[in-house]
Amino acid sequence: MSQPTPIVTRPDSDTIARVDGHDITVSEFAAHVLWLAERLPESPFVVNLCADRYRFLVSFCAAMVRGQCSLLPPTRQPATVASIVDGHAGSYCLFDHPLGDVGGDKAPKYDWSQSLAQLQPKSETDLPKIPGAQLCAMSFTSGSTGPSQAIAKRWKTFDVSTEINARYMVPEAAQLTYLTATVPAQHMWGLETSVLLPLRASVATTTSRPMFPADVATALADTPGPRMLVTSPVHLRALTRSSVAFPAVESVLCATSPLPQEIAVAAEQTFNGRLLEIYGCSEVGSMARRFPVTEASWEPFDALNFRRSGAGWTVDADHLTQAQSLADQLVFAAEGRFELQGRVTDMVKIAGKRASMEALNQILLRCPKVKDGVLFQPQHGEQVAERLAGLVVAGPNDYAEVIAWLRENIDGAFVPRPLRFVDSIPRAASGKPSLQALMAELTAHD
Amino acid sequence: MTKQTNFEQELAQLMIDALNLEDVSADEIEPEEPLFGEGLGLDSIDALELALAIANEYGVHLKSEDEDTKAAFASLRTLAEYIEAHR
Repeated sequence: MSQPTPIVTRPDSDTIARVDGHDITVSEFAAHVLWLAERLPESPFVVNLCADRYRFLVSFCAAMVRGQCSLLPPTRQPATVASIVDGHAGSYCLFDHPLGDVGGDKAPKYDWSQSLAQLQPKSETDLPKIPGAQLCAMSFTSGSTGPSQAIAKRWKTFDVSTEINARYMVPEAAQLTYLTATVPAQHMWGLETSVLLPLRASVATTTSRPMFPADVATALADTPGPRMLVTSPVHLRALTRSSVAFPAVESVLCATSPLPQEIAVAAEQTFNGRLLEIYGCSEVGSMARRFPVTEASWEPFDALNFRRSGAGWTVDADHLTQAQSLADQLVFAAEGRFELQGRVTDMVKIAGKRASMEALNQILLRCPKVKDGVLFQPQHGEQVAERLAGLVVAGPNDYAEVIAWLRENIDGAFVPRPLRFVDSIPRAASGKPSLQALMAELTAHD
Repeated sequence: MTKQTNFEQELAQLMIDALNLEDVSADEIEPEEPLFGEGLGLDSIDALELALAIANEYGVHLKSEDEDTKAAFASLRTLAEYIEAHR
């Protein structure tokens, strides 16, 4: 059994967050956590729907103080939240903004949208230590092909992995860095960085969750430097193509799917800082890093053991509850670094959501109007396009029905664009079409 | 179907080009139908792409934390009105 460890290890006077233009110290934060912990309803599970990142952080820690597990829905779609509530008896929804009908009538709701100044917490700021085995969070895969898969995280995993992440992700350990993130706190990448890093490293999280380039510029300008921006390839692509001027960002962190080299180069110019790319998965968290402008290979984080297993690789570590097999093929080279060489499984990842290509294709073929069809990831030169493409054999007037079927049965991120109607699918003798043949068919229709 | 204004038709075409929505033609986009979720079925990747195209074409920079923008993205009509008011 590991000893209980502190939620936050930084000095009381350190800045842990920035809210409405003001720094929040560790002791103010602790008082907010204790205030909320005292008021949370009794329950084993809390669905944390807070949109404000500071309130998410306070809620997450207050839940831990009370021994409650935070459920982190991948989206705020009512159906998604309802299925998570249904799967976890007694859970309630915790929120800080108007919810609409999210969560339905079934789940009790706890609203803490009042201003922080109104809280009047007690002067006590000693947070209890958390046992390593305590269940802290469950994140969920997108569930685009079947029910959501829950990924459980214990405190020891967060505690140790955040120490490791701090060493690899925060370049200037001595100086306070203000972190702005375009990714949600409910997603593992956003959780590891914008929520957990400030508990261990000299990082202050900011409340915003900017989306458009102009939002990101405003959010960054609202914090002093040095700055860190946590983002994804989809956001970075939009940011680098925008004409908006950004303040300098010393450190840009990008993860969730492979970043094309030209976006990496453009990002360093746009932000006048260094871009660090992180390799990870929801089950393990962050596993390796590279500076993509100058490095092709990845530096694995120490404390993680990469082992060959069958055709692929697994990762294990003391702080993980079990070994995790990886979806990517790794090739280790000099100095223990590795390169990614394609996928072992058929999992596809778009906008941080995962699905199996096989399962998506099965859904397409189950559509009553589809005689034959295939969804695939188009490739233009070295580049893999953001969206899936689809080729379908169906009646000339069936387009709307096929699209409606897909929208109903798979997550919007995987609905193909374009979806082309063709006379036949160019299948090889094996029955499996080659990417080359599919691309030829796709471009023949341009 | 409600009739599109000239500017709505121009914006509909920009949307189709920017988002690769080749299955619809500009005059098929119902001006008052929701753009996101139901209706055209656009998502947040599309919102980013569309915001870029609008910034490049009309010099209008959308902001998600601005309540007016949320209302603007409701339909082709509200988006057209927002851009005309801010360009």
